[in-house]
Amino acid sequence: MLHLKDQAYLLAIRNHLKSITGREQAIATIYVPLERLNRLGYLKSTLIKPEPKVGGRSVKYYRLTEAGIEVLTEMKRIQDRLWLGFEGIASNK
Amino acid sequence: MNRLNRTPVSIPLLASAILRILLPQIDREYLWGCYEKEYREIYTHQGKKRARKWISRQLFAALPVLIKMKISGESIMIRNYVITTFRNIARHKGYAFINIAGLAVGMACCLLIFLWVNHEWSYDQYHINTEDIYRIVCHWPGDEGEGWTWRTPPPLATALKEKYPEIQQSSRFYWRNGLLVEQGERRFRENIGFADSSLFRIFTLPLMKGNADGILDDPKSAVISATTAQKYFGSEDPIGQTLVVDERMSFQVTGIMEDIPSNTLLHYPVIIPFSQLEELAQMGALDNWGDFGYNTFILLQENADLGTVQDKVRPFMDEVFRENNVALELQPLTRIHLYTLGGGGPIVYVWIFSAVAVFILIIACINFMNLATARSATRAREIGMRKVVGANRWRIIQQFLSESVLMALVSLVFALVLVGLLARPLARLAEFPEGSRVFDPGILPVFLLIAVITGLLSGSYPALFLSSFQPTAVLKGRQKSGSALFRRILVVFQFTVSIFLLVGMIFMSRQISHMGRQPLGFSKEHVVYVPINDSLKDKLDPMRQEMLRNPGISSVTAVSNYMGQSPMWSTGSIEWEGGDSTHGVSLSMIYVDQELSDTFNLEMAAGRFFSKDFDTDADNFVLNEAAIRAMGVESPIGLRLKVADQQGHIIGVVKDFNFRSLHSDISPLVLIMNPRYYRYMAVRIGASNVPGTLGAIERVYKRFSPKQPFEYRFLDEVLDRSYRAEERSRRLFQYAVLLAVFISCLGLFGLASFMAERRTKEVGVRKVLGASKSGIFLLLARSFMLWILVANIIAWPAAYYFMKRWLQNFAYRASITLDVFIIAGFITIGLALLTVSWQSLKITRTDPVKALRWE
Repeated sequence: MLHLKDQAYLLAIRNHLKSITGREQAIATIYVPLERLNRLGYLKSTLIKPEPKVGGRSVKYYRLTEAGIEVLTEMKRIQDRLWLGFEGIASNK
Repeated sequence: MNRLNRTPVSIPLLASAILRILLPQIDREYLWGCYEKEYREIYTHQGKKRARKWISRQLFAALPVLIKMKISGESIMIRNYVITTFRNIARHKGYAFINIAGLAVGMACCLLIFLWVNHEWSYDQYHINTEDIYRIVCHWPGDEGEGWTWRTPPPLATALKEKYPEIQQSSRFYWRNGLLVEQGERRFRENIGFADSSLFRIFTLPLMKGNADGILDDPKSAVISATTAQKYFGSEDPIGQTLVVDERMSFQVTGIMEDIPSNTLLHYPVIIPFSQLEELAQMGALDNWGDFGYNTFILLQENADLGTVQDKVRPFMDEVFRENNVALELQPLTRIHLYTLGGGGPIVYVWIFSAVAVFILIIACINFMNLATARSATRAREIGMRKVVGANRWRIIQQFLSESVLMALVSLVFALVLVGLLARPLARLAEFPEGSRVFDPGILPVFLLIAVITGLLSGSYPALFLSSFQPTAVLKGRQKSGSALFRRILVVFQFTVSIFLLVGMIFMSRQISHMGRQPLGFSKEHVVYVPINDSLKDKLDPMRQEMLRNPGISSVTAVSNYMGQSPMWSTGSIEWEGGDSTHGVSLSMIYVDQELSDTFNLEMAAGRFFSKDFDTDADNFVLNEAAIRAMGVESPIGLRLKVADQQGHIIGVVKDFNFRSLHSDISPLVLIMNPRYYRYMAVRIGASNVPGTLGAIERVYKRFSPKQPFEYRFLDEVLDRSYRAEERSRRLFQYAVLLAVFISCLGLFGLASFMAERRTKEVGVRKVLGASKSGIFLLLARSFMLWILVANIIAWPAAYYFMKRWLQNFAYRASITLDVFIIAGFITIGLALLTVSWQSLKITRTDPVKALRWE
């Protein structure tokens, strides 16, 4: 979400994950957790209805909420604490 | 190109239907758009096949997560359904057992067949280019001499590739089995493939070492599999090492290929350059257009249109031969294993078994439906209560569907246990090639899908039926136990299928033994085949002399193939004196020596066989009657004939004998005396002291060829093996049919015990009024017997029709007689009677007083 800013919709997220992890995920395997986060209030989604021209599709954008950012920073903090003193391993490999 | 222009590419119908059901309502349009967009992209860039593969993978990934998401809101009800289901199982253990056992056995059987079918389809599917690989095959049109062969002349591969730009790669391929390969003291017999370097470009034969470009260009190079490398060189680096083949030619290892799956027709541990065939196998010159004997594989350009290429290639041979009637066709690689050229082949069995699997599953489902509706009375109050407290019809349907799916899943667990136990024996029975994976964990989702479908199918009718109950009627106890007519139809259907399969089974074994009794036209008993290599070909006469000294050996001949198995070679169109060149005749070729007719007791129709007394016989021909008929000549003896490059006279006509398997008619054949193609020595031995005689043969063989291991096979055993496909299918079929009958009877048993229970009171009254035991028994058994009779009457014509169709695969057919049907009928009636009578007898013996008190 942070990376993609306001261009975070399903396929874009999927492509982004693919470029990072190198593995292509099924569409549904991305959609389901996104929806769960949405319901928990960490994400907020906006559904843009298709423009009336032929071939236009509806797109659903996701945006991090305040609560989501809070949880993320918390996770980052814990992770950092866990890695404290072992940064060398990560950078070598 | 034209794929791009066809704009509205959409997801295949089935996939889109599943997606539409699965996708959550709120985001359906939007998600659908995502799928469609990706699908189109893949379709346009990578083609339809890839796109289809992609969407099915997507579906499998989506199935579990989306279902979970869908039901997460209703988990309480689902839990309640699960609890009710298990309570019901616990309360009615007998019925639950019949239900689960029937479903489990049926599913296990279905899954095992699925494993087998899956394996049969998997041949050569693993190549990256699978869809674009074709084998060139020859086709002779015509009424009398129609023929197909995959044997093509050796210069064809290069000529085709040069002429047509659509052909990206081409390679010739041939093989010889059981050649001696040595490395120092390590000495094994190996099956050896002969190919061009381009083989490694066409097929997926991944190289662990070596460079695929021109890997076999050096005439002394060899590519071996990883296992073979291990076998000969252990941990040493095999590259550059030498292997000696057939004691006279050495090859240097230039590449190691990974071990490939066993379900491919390229399963050769050693591959050497095709050019070596001429020398090593003493085959004809490799630039001879008349030598039809080799595989030609091609790889089409990715965007080439099959139809266009096919039309271009078909008349190619016209340029080669002045008078030509050979058309070239393209055979897809994936069809080679299952489809025989010109129709038929193992595919017939794949369809038969798939149908059997579906039938068995349906029979098992019917059991479930029958019991569920019959016992609906016991559930009626529960349904009434649920409705009273506010469940609508859809809820009840949901409940019963989830109940039956749950039962199916429980059965699946048992079925998987059964499959696990039986997969190995099945692989042995079905003779999967060694090292093939029987159980691929990748098909587990398919199993799950089959279970869910089974559950939905078997739950469908009960769910619809039970949910229609009126609560007021039910709670007052005025509900009937389902439509008896519908149940009757289902049982009749079950038994129709069983009888149909039973007739098929009996008839199949009859046809096989009929073929076994068919006279071959030559005697196959007491003939020993010994493979010989080229160094022995010069020493044939002294060997023969030596062997004939033993009283147990009556005749020795050299021959190019097993008599009764399709010959390795066939001619192009032959030319003969005064022959009408417009209709070409192609002959199968067997290379023989003078002793052949003695060894196999062949009979001559006219003229004489080859003889030592005539020096010119090396150029002459002996034909069979079928060949003479095809040529349409009156007096064949002495006629001049040209076969490939050889010109000579016809000196004799041999009576037709079955030189190919009994699947096919006797086709035109020419016998030629040419030592170059001898592969075997055929030795006729006496019936007594066989081990002693075999020992004598071995001693002579060892004297002339000390290094080669001695091997032999009896001709009749080899020939029996060629009917293995039928024998194997018959055995598999037999088990499947027995299961089908068993499951049907299980269902009948359940139904009968239910009926018996319901009629306890009636029987009690009848007894009190003085009915006899046998009278009551008849009363109970009669209706069941009537159903089975109806089933018989329906099944017989259907079975007759399909037997007729199946027989088209054979040239020699057993006649379809009435007794087959009658036997099947009696078996089913007998079994049904046994099943029903146990329950019926039980209630006829009950004390009427108890019965009348029964509530």
